[in-house]
Amino acid sequence: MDAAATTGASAVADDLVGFDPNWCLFWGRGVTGFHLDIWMPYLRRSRHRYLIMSGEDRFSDAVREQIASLPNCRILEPYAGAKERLRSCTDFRGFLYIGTKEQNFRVVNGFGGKSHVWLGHGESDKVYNAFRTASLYDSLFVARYSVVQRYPRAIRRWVAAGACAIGTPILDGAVKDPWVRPKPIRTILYAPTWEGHSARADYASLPTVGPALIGALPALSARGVTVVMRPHPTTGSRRPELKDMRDRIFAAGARPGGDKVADFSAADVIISDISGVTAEFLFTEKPVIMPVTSAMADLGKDDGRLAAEYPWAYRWHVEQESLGEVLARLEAQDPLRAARADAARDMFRGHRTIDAAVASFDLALDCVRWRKTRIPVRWVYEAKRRFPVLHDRRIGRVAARLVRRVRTLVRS
Amino acid sequence: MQPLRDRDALVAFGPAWCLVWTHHVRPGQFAIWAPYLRRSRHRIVVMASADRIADEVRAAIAEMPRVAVAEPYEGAVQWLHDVPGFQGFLYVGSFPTVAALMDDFPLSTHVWIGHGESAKKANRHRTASAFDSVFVADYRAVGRYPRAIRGWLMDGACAIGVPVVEGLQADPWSSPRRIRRIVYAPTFEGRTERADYTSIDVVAPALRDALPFLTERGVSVVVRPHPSTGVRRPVLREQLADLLAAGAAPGGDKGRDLTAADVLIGDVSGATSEFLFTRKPVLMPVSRALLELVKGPSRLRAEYGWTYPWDVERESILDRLVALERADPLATVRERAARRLFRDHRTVDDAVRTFDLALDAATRRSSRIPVRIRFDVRRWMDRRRVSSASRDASGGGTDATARDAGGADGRSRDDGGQRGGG
Repeated sequence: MDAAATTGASAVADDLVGFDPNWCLFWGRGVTGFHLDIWMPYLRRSRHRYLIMSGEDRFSDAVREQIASLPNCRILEPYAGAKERLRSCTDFRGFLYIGTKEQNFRVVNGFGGKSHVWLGHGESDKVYNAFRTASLYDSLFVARYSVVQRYPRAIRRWVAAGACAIGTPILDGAVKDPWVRPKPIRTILYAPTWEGHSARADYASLPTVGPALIGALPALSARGVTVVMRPHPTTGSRRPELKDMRDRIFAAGARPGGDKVADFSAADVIISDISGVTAEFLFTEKPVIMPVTSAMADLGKDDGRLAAEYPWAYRWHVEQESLGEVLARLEAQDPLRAARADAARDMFRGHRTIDAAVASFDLALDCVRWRKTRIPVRWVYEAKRRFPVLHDRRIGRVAARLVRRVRTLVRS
Repeated sequence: MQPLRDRDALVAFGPAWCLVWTHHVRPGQFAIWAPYLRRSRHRIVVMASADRIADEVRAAIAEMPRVAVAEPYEGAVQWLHDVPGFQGFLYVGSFPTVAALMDDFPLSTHVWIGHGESAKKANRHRTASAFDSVFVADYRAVGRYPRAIRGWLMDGACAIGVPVVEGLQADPWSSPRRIRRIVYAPTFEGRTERADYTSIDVVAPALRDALPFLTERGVSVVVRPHPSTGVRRPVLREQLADLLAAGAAPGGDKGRDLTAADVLIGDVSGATSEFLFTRKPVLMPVSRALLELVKGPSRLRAEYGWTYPWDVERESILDRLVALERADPLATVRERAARRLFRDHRTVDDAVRTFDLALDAATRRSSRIPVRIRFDVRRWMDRRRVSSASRDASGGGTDATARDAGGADGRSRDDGGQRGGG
């Protein structure tokens, strides 16, 4: 580990006020490297200053190095002692949460006057993106507003009023490479998700796709097709047998994934689950194949649900047809090309570069404080996004004065 | 009911609600809701995440026909998924385990019932927005919460009144009278300095020094400290021990102690609001630390305008009592505050009817009609029904009937005021 970097990253605990952070990214337990990776491009380009805090003060060396490379980010530790010092930071606005750990509850309670924003870690139809405690947060940053419908009805109005659609996080370096016409498939990227913390959140396709892929690999190799596999980093933590399956797929000839951008770029098509990576890959506008299994149907993610949530993905009924058939069909024609382009525009909110996405991200962070008013955060965010002239502080002041006057009139 | 220790027993019992504590059931908090559990028409299971439930709590629950302990916690939580008609959870505190239950039961109703009405930090927690409904004493309490969540809370709030203490009687001072008995009910020091509302530091020594003179005047002092006193600051226990050693008597049954008291010395705490039911005077020790905590004297006045502030360092308790025996200018203010904070409840039964109606209303958070409106309309109709039934039964014109009718009117007036305050 780079000792200097580490010192530089965590020294902020001694000079917190001098650093004057705006936001604190909070992880309930340890900072998860692959979650941080999602937001790294945003943090790097954002005009805000960030602290990174973990409820258990667990930062891997890689994470420390990553954070040390960002001039506007610092690690805050130890959690128990340093947290209280945030109160003395004059420009500190609140917390950003990546997961829904119970420790979030304590932080929200401890800093009642600050803003609390749920960032999440990727857009998908998982239960983690429809959690009941969403009403704990002032604002949820979502890919698009329609995802609010996933949340329990009781809290939907709260979530809708505070939601900011900032688009699916863009992978730094990913490029748009749509199939303008059907083409032979040379590289398949298989990116299965993990098995979740409980059976209710088990969206992993490995148990069904694994055997099918192993069976298909000899024929695919013979055709010159490469299979690259990028399993979710926590695969097998609850169900160790999935690690065995992963290893068997590698043993059968699949190549392990490396750099995510290179893997995305090399792939002609992705096979992936209900998972953030599927939405990320949509940026390339290349075809997505989504396995449909009876296990998924048991979780409520049957063919109909997948068709509604992922109308831009080809559904592969693993128990009914072979991978070869699906690929052959896709090579012959790609009827979902236009649907993918539309979905990409919608899911990435028109962002074609990271800079554009970060501008939306920063704008959304600025708007969260409106939660304290009667005007929904969403309206303010969308108004500012569509009419950049509203960024002008003078106009903001005039608008605030107008609102005050109307309020006085209403009261009188 | 006997404890439920397996799935079949729990399903057969068919609870509608689960009253849940993080780690262990606090007997003091349980005692607040025990009269409600005993009388409620809902079936309720009581659980603690560490399965620690004191024998006294178990004994009390064993005698309640529609209440049972469910354990072990981990298993019982899973079994609740299988209970048809299960409505949701009632939370007394706001702890991280609450979040786990909410995410595990996303379609159930989650209600924060708290553990006593006061202006403490615990009654204005930011996490209140996570609950479908927050039960408050009256709607003004919503104004304490962070501005960001106030609108959302107001829609889901149900004003069920301050919990009524079993056996407590209203005994207003119709004219100034001799004070024979003081109850000192200090709160605890909180889990952090920012939640330290206790007056023990200043009041215990002052009372100890004044005790010989009080005794000479025939005034007895009963001390009822919060059960958690001294956990974070053990010195407070020593100060209370000194006070008891000087001649103060330890408290016993809460209802009897409060009924027997002429005056309460109470802090910003649920006990102070509970005592308001008697309509008897309350002295509230005021210190600079307290004023900082409650954000200034005007805020304290707004919350506790019905109490007499007592500057312990400048004024002796004897002087304060003599002044109070001569004149009680806050008698009418207390009466008004009591009607508002207890929502015109005159008995525990009356309060439990409201509590049950609020539970019914809370389950409808997903509807477009705010829980609050639904609850208040149903309560208004219910009270009209009860009022006319009692009029019919008595042939019209009893005191009770008149009181109920007055209550209905008073409630309407209250609501108008609350709307303004909220």
